[in-house]
Amino acid sequence: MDNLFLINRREFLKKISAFAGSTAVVASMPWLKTFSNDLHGKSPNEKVRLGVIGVGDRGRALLLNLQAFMNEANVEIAAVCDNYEPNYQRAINITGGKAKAFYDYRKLLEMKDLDGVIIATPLHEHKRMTIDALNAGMHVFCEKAMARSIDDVKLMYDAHVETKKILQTGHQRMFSPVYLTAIDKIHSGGLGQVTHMRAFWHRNGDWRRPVPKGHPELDRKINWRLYDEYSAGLFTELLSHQMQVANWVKKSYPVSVVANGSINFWKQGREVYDDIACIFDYEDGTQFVYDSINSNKHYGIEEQILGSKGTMELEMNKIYSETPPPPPAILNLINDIEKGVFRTIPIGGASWIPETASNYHGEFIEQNYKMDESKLQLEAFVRYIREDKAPEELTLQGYYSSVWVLLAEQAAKTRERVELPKKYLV
Amino acid sequence: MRDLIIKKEILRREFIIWMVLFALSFVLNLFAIIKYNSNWMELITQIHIVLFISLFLYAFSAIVRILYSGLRNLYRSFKKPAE
Repeated sequence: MDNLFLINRREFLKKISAFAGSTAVVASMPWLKTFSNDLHGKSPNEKVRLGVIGVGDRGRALLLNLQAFMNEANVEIAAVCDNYEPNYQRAINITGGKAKAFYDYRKLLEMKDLDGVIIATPLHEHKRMTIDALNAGMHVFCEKAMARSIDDVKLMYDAHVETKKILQTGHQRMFSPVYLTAIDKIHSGGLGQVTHMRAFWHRNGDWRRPVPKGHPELDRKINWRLYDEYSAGLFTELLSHQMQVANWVKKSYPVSVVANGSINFWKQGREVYDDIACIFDYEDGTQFVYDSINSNKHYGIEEQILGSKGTMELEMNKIYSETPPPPPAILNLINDIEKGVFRTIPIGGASWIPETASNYHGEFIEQNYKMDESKLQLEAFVRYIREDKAPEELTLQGYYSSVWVLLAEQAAKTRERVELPKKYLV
Repeated sequence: MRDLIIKKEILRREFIIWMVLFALSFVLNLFAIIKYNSNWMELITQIHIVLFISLFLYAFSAIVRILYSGLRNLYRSFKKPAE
């Protein structure tokens, strides 16, 4: 399986290089450009030394992803940090005790030979850790969303600009082969004019994680996603990804948002909504309609891009033409014979034909897709470190995605149409 | 239990019946391609559907033939004078 993965990854990198050679593609996906650039930061012979701050569920996944390619990419996981004992021990176990372990991230940042840090802590911690790391001269990969408040997101961005250090956010779809191919098709007119986008993320669960017996004080630390002080819930934890995709598709950012939210199912002490709905309005009139719930998972996750010539369902890796190819003639003939033999004779009822969804099953956007974009984004981060810079558009995607989900939260709380204050334009 | 013996002639007959039905299905595909102004490549690309149709027709013909021979035997047994 590993070999299969490697083969496909190599093919993917080859494809990225081909992509990066195209001016049109680089215009809409400039973060790919680095794959064809010379390295100015560290040569491939020098080790890239990384620290990982926060080894909860996401941090653990990122750590394992790093380990999967660290030898091949000449990366060393030099330090790990978590102030929650089970996670601290987990980090030591995963790294086999080879990485220096810290409870306090500031001690980790004192390691002068670190090239970069990966921050996967609760949302409200992102700002100070990111800014401190950037000021310590390290490149930063910070999990999405960027911060709990728009001011904090802006401060993080400003620190990135001042220090000229990389600030990459964990919006991994930017490195997914399916999304890269899809966006290329969309931007080259494959869907016609994109006038509408729909996305949703539905789960059935309360997001509550078990708290060790006898330690109720740890509830807010472990279940930070449920509390307003630490998280905006569905807005920052889920919408953030799909907001980035919508902006990427439109090569633009919204001009306003209206939203609603409620706690209508999980009422056991959570402070963040378990049911949200938002509409983002883009300058060209495109509407991006979004909803996310915690009480039903039937529809799962999807981003639907609706254009005048076709539709894409990005999570399903599917594209549907508005004029689907006709079925084979022999099947057409059989259908017609069947219709002739078994046709229904209307004797009452509706006189119109219901406009139900098309039965056309579409085509795959990208064939033989087996790669993990979470790993690819980390590989890219290492490449950016070697080059000592990352394309600014990469940071801007993370910035505007983070800003707009927080504006959506504001719209839901105030029940007002919200626009982006000019001071946050970058 | 009696052994079931399928004679060579029967096998040949059944094969010919299926071949005829396959040819019929093929012609049906040809007709469909002309009728719906479709791609001639479908003569090859849709051969699996043609094969499926021929097997379906063969199964249908087998049922009809079994029913016919069953009814014929029944009729003959009624016509036989009682001993």
